[in-house]
Amino acid sequence: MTGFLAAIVALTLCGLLLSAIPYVRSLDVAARLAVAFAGGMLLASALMFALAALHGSWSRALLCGSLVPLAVVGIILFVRGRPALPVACRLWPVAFFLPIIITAIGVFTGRETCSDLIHFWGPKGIHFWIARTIDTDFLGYTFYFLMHPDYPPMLPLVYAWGATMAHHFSWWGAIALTPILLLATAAAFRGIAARAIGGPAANRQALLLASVLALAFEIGPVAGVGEPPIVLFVTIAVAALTFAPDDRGAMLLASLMLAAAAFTKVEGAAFAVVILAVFLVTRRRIAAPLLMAIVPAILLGGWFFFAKKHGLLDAYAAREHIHLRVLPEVFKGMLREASYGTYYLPWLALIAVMAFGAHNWRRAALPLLVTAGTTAAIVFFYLHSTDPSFWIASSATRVLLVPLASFAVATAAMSE
Amino acid sequence: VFLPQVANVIPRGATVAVFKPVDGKSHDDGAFFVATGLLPRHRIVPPMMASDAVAVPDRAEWVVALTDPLDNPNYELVAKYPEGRLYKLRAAQ
Repeated sequence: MTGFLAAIVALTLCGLLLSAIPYVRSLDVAARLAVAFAGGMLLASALMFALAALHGSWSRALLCGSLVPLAVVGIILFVRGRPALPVACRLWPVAFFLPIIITAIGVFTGRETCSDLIHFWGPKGIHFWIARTIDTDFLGYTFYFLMHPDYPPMLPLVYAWGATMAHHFSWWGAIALTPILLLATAAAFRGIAARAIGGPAANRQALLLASVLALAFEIGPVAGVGEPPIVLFVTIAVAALTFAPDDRGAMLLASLMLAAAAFTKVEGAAFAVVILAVFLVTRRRIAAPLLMAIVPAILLGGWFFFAKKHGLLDAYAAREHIHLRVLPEVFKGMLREASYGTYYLPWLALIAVMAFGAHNWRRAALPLLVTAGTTAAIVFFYLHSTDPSFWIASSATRVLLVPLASFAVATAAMSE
Repeated sequence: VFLPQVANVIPRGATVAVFKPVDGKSHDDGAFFVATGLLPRHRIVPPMMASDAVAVPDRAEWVVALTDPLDNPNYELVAKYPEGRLYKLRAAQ
């Protein structure tokens, strides 16, 4: 497990290349490392996809030879950049690590393992690793259609990276990523928020975010699947555009995170469309959202054409009609699952903080509208099934994590 | 524990059906997808591919029966393990 996990975490080094963005350089060290982890996963998976698309196969030498120079440049940029904000409160890490530790306990006792890891995500990663490329024969095999052959490949590619470097795939390593990703999510959010609302307030809100996500991760359950990484990408993108909406570096960072989200899960593309539309409406700027759409469009477009070329189109070519008659059933099911079996505790905790804090509606408009928009997108997806009850019961607690993370950012934006 | 052991017995690339038999017959359960990750060097096929309803050339070459025995004359027992049994499609097929 150690080698597999260490190889994936080491992607942070090449992700330090994002320190070239002045906005990222202005964040505190923990946030820069967290952003680098997200960026490293994006860089490595984009490289592996490009090699697969060019009919090249992966090897340790080729991958390391491509990524190590990036890591060297990244480390230089990271070392040269001085954090703009010191850690404001020395006590914050103590409380901050509690939800992470609880998540780690949940993960290592197997309680948070999602069955989709052993059904879909893990097998894809293993087959990519063994084939040393994106195994289109495996993805396209008739009997494996439930794996959705055209599903965005980022997480299996990250797993294949870890397995290639460690010479083995680790199921434990895959689930062990969950607390690390949660830590990265909270640290990135804290650093981004601290620039706007100050260190102590950012500490409080980061603790709230980590606690809420830890609870939802437990109920999900989400260990080993696409939700922990997509929550990291979503949180960084929403927080950057909420707390630094006029900063070009924040927009570039958000664009990269949108690409990562769209390359991780199908709903990541919906999230990208929603947040760019909301940015257009709330900031009344046309050029910026269009520019931010370029990287996600290139990456997802590349994947779409790759899938089309190899006859893998499935989810992206679905022609199922909307069934409005199931709308009441969808609402009921989503309401039931949104409670997370705790009487809506994650949502109520955020609403309570929102109610007792300041009321900066203007700053919170973007994340609030993203919360509403991504929830509507989830409803839209469910409406494409004639009988969505099983689908909702088996996935809603996980897909609602994107609106939940966005709502947590809204709480911080409004309350402080 | 079980599948990595049979992985060393079954030739690479062979078609394999993995399931827990019910009344000795093939049964559609979640083991099929799990096996795709645990036997990555083999071609995992659904349990129905080990049934009589499937034409002989398309039948699974091997069956991994979890816990309970398989009752199908088309397959011969190759090995027994604490967690199940390994069967091979009879040569006469």
